[in-house]
Amino acid sequence: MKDRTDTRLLARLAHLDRRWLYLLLVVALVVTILIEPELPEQPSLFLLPLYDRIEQLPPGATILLSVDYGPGSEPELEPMALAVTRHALARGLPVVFMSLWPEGPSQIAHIVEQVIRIEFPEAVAGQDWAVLGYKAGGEMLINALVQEVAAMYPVDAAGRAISDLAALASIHSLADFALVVSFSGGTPGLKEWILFGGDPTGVPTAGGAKGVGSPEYLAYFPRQLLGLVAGLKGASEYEEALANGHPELGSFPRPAAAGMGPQTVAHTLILLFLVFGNLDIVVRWCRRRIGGDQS
Amino acid sequence: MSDAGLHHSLEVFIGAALTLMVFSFLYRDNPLYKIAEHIFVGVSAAYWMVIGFWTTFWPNVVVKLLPAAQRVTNPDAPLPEQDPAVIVPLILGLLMLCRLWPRLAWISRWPTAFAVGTTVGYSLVRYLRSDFLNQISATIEPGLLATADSGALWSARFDHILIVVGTVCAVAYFTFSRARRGGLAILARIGLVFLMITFGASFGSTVMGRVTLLVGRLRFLLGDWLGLI
Repeated sequence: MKDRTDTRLLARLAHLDRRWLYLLLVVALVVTILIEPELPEQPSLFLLPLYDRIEQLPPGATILLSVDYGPGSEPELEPMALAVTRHALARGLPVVFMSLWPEGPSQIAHIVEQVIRIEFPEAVAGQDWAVLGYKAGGEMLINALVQEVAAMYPVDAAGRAISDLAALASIHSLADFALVVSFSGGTPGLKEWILFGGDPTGVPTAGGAKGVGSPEYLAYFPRQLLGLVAGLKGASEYEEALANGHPELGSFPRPAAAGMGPQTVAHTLILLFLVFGNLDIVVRWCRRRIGGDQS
Repeated sequence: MSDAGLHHSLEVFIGAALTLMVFSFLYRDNPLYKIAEHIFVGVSAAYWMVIGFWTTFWPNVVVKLLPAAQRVTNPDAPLPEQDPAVIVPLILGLLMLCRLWPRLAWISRWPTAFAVGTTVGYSLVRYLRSDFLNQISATIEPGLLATADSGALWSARFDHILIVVGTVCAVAYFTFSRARRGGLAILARIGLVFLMITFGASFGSTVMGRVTLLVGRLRFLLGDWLGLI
């Protein structure tokens, strides 16, 4: 009798309406977001070369940050874009923003507002940072930049001739950048930067990618891809490395670290769902093997 | 409340309402979800068209044909030189529109063929070098050749050896030109294990990505909208 009750309970769990699972997940996430637990992070093997390269560049070396994502990828990619921009400016490296995506300019504006305007108000537009904006073309645009930056971007997003910008004074072609970092929400993005920018010119190319896209880019590491910030966890690791390496930055906002608590809870819950959802099958299989229950 | 504050509050309220309307699909399909879906598609299409016009068509066609047009978007910008050559891509672009008239639709194949041919011709070389040759050498060299040259411990190169074994076995799994018997069957079986591990890792990453989006929306609702965090 007890066996039959157990089986019914397991069968019920296996066929539980998925909306209960959604509700449970949302409640667990809301509670975790309100509690805001802090979890320890350890920078990964894929991320450290990018961090170290920015640490080693001489002050004044210009970095190109390509913001290749839209609002749909913002929660995952913006934290890493903020962290890398903060790191470059803290090291005195001019950053030049551009985008292969039409939605990129509004994302660049978010980064400028959150990091440059608030944390580095002394940074001079055109000298310490510049925004080239969006151009269509994807890989063809990158190919044109390999030849000459000014041919595709004669003026920056504010309409100033790029020959007048100190941040781009030493830049003729893509190869003159000390580092290219693409925050990639899909195509065109990091893959195009590796194939059409990094490989032909030899300019160190690194990137940040969504969790779902990261395994694809790991194939290029370390020869064709200098480093990879993979998903929200990668961004959280970068924030940790930056906080440890640059204590002078103080307690800067760490959106990725704040998101890792809910991430952990969600993953644990989903694992439990998987276990309970398959428990009925496993129990039936075991009983069949033992030869007790033929149902 | 200032104009900017009112604007921000309205923006947040609309964002929160649309977020909840989309979330309502989790319960079941309903008109509120449909409204949010249609607004999203409409706004996205309009945004892309406006951005495409001002960042692609205007600077690449109008300004290059009529340099004075540069001053329309920026009165202080330097005037570029006129470039009549853009008439060629302009004509190709206009020919694309022939697709709208069934009797002339065949003409749109010319610019399409030009665009596809140019892109494929250019990309082929790069993909062959970066995605094929470089990937092969990057797979083999660190694991086998460098180890043999330097005499380094195999245990230190374990991860590279694993990559080589995984690559060979996965390729064996997709070899359909020979019957899977003997050694090939064993390699293919091992390749399947590697593929399953890879898919598992990808699935985990996908879950992480989707949860991040959900957390992002919940933080927006709890923080920007309700002010709880």
